[in-house]
Amino acid sequence: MALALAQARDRLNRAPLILLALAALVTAAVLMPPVYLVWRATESSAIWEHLSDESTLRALGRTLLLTASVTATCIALAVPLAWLTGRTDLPLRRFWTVLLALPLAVPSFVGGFVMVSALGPGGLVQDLLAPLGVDRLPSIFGFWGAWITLSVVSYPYIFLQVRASLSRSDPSLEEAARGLGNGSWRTFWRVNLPQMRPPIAAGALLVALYSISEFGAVSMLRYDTLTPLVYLQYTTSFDRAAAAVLGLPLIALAVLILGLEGMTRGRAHYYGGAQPRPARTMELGSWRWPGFAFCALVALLGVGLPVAVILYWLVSGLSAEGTTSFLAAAAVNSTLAAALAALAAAIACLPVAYLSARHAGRLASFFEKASYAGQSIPAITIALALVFFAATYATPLQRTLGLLVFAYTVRFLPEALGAIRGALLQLNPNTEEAARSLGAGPLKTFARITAPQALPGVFAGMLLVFLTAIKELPITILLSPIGFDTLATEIWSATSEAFFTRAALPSLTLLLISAFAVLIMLRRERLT
Amino acid sequence: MRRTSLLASALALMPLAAVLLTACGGGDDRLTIYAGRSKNLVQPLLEQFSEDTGISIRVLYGDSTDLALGILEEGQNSPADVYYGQDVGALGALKAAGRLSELPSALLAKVDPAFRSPDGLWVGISGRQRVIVYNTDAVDPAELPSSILDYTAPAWEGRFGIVPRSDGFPEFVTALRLLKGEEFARRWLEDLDANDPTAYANNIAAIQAVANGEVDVAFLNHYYLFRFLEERGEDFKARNYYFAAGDVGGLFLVASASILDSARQREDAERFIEYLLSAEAQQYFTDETHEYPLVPGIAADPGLQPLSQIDPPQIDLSDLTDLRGSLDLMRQTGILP
Amino acid sequence: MTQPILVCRDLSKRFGHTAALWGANLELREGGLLALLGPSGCGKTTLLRLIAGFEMPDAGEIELRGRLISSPSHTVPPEKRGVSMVFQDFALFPHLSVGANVAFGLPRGVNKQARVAELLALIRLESLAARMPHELSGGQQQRVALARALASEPALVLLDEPFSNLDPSIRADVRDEVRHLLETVGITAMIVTHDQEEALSLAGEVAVMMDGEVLQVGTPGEVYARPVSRRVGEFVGAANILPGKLEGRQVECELGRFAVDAGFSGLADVMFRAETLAISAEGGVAAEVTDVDYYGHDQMVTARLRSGAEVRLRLLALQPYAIGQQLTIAATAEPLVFPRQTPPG
Repeated sequence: MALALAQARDRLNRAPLILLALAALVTAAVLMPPVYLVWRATESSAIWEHLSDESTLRALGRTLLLTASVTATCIALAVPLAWLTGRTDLPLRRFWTVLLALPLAVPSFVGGFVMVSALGPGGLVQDLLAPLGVDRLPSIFGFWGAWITLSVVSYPYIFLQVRASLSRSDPSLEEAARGLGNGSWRTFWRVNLPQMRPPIAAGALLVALYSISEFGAVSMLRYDTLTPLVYLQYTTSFDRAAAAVLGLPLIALAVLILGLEGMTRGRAHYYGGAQPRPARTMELGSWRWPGFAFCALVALLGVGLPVAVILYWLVSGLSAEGTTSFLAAAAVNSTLAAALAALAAAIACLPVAYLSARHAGRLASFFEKASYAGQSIPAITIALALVFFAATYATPLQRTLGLLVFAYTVRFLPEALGAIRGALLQLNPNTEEAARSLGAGPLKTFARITAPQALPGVFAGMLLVFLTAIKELPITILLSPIGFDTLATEIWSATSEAFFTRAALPSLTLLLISAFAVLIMLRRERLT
Repeated sequence: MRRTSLLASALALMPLAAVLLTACGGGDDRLTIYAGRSKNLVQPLLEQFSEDTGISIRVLYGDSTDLALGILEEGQNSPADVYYGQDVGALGALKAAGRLSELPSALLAKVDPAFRSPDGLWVGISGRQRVIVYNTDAVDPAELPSSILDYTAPAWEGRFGIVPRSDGFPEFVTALRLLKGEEFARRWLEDLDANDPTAYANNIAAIQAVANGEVDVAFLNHYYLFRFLEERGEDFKARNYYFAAGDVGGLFLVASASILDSARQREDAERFIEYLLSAEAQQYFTDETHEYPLVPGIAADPGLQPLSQIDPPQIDLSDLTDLRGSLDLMRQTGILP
Repeated sequence: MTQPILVCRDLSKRFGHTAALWGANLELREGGLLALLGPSGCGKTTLLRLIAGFEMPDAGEIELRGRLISSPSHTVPPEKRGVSMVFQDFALFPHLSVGANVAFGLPRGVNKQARVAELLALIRLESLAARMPHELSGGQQQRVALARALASEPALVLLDEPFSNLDPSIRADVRDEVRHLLETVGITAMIVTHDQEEALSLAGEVAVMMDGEVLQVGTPGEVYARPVSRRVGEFVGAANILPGKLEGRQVECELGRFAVDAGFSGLADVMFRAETLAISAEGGVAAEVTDVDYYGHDQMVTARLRSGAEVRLRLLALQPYAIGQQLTIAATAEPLVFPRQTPPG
């Protein structure tokens, strides 16, 4: 054992320099926003006053409570959903998979709005219940609303990762457990769940970091965590230093969350098995319909409600003219930028993920953890940081598609990183060495052995980036080429002035493109 | 020993670098406008300007405050020539950073001195007034207090909605401080807070809440209602109520335009502002955005209280641009977190 | 005597603070099959990985066919060595069919289809070319892995514990088949194993490795019958060690006095292989049975001598023995003697 550990440690020493250099480059790019944040914070003359202010501490408490509850809820939702759609004979599995991934693509300002419209006072649900004599629902505002909304929009982070890992997990372990006399439920708890731990942890990490940096939904639902406080400093006081100071606890929280995730990783296992086979389908029996109802309920909350509200906008609106003209361009722009971001994030996180999976060590671990910066800092801070760096050090890049894609990559790299790292960990490293000893050079080995095997994970990561980049707003507004309208900016522009009907078509288009992206990924999954 | 992926990664990063370097948008000589106003509201007007003058433009639409923050970060390399926004706090921040340049007096002279910066750094384009929006089922407008100061009465406990973060409320607090004194403002905010007002993230959410009966009244800008009436029809259960003449609640705010110190297309920028102040454009604001035109001789929307009848509190709008003291006060009194 | 195809000279390799190899030397003759035998953690897999090119040595060098392929300052990448490896877990490419797996290493210009067919025929899996690896049994996967390694006719094939992942019931058959295959092809091969029986039965030559060093290389018979040290002797087969004293050409221990050929005198460890001890009707020393392991074809009987020392006897299973039974034991062959060591640990 000691030798095995020593071998693992030694791997870093032999991690090729170019790999280290690439990972360092990626990390440096990703660390630009936190560096900017700290630098701006030092301009403040009242750092401690801001940090120790009662309102800051209260907001920190709320942030902790919300993050913990949302993360736990997302795990509780996502794991059974992934299992039901991935490994059982649930009716309409693929349909549910697509639907259940979609909440991720609902912009959070729309998600918050939808929750208020549906569950708020005088909303759809109350209207439906009114005949039953219900004239007031429990208030959606505050913790409960923020908790439900964030859980419903962010559980797909875990769902998609677990789903991808199920498609590559080794069924023989499970069969062995069954053979040892464990029932299906015990097998699930004792074998499948521990096997799913890495993707669950990777997804939960994204959910937790997303929860601390989320603005749109929490502000709509009036739950003042730290991030709305940061926005408040920006948008009312224009005090960029004070905003940065309030961002510091977010960095500290992110470090804490990363540390917790590191502890759950434990002694990371290697790959699942020598010869992965397609997994067996579990028969649900009498659990079939409860499982079906569970999927339906979550899909209803996550997709059904937004679509219902959007359709309501569409049919109830009177001023629908003038929408379609710029819709096509916005759809193309959105798809292009999000697809490029997905590709760029997947490529950029490869050296970091590879280093972390194959040359584990302190430096590799630092590179990996640092790469999560983008997910934990409010989007507006990332946008302003990159606006600043581009304007100061790279003026030719200002307002280019390249810079926008770069910013998306910085923001969403962690989403691809977890998925790709997980895929590399599950890949049998001996197959790479076997290829080398059969005469294949590093490139051929990567192209023909590593990449095809890691592909489901890469696609899952790219899908996450695509779904979240396509809805991104503050970064899009502040960094996109001028005149580069996207669906998200169209939706925001319309809803911010109550042009709900005009918001309807871009919203539906956004969801359709996202659904299409999920379908493409599922197709790849079946092929590999 | 070489592990597999490096060379591949290196090669794969190259297209990324290529995208970054080739998608170059710099060196544009079009007039660049940062428009902190809804694209749905002003795009037709801006396109008309381009068509009429032959000046090609590129417009960045976004939130007024976000765009101002962007300009501050971009520094002298900002591509923006014109900042066209609706947030006086943003103007204050840009002014404090020395980012606004003086406008020609001919442009400034087109509007009443009350609607422009005394140092000539910005000029008002269109106006909006602070009003009470009320639920038509829950409230009889005859019973509404005609002064904002009376909404802290016990009768309004739990019935009052505000949007403390943006779009006029901090400006109102500043006006309150200027007109009634710091202590009065503090006490009023404390009373307001004690009355358990509901704080909304934005005007749209607030007006929707009024129509849904979540709150009975909300303190907002006047023109959002018209958007809802267009969108939802006359059945929409909210209407505007105007404060009594001279009441501090009836603050009159403007959307304004300014030219940045770093502007490269100054001449075109001036022509653009001139266009916004033209009869044609001012008429557009009247007809399409339900705002008040600011250039004399253009009549306001007949659905609005006529400009001549409004007697806003006598406040120099440029005094409103520094909101920091008001925000501190709002925080201390619990209105803001 | 043919030239050695592979020469490993003074190879050392550390992982952190642990030394995995400590000046290991090894030579391999063209066409030979060498078993690298050692307890787990002795560095044999590290040596294999150095030869394959997956690790670089800290000191020493490796030559293949007279060409330097590895030294601390110079390394030929694995794919340019002509050394192919069969992994313990076979490491078949899960996303490629059996045929594609076998064809993977074939150079351009070779008629791949024909060569794959030829190899699959060799391993008697010609009908399974289109199967995916997970659709094969363990033994079939093993053969495919071997065929894949042989496909491009490498100078040397390395097999890392190739039989340990197989069901014990088929292990012996697969072993014979692999040896037969390697002989048919006439390729030089090296098998790493910790299983003495496997090493002795399979290979033309056995190298015993311990603590990062190659201690002895020889034919199975030599290694078994004339181990260079007590530890090697104990490792390659069941052995009984009794304290003794060497005087001239005679050694004296609890089992009696024996003539031996030794280059030293004084205190000695006297080693009797378990099968060289027998139940004796006339003469011998008294002992009491303390344990019996019954294997069917034979049995291992443990007995306590008067001194308290325990010895093991490999006996035919013709007669049952019971714990507590009194026996008389005698040696049927000369023992081996080694200078007395203080027991390790």
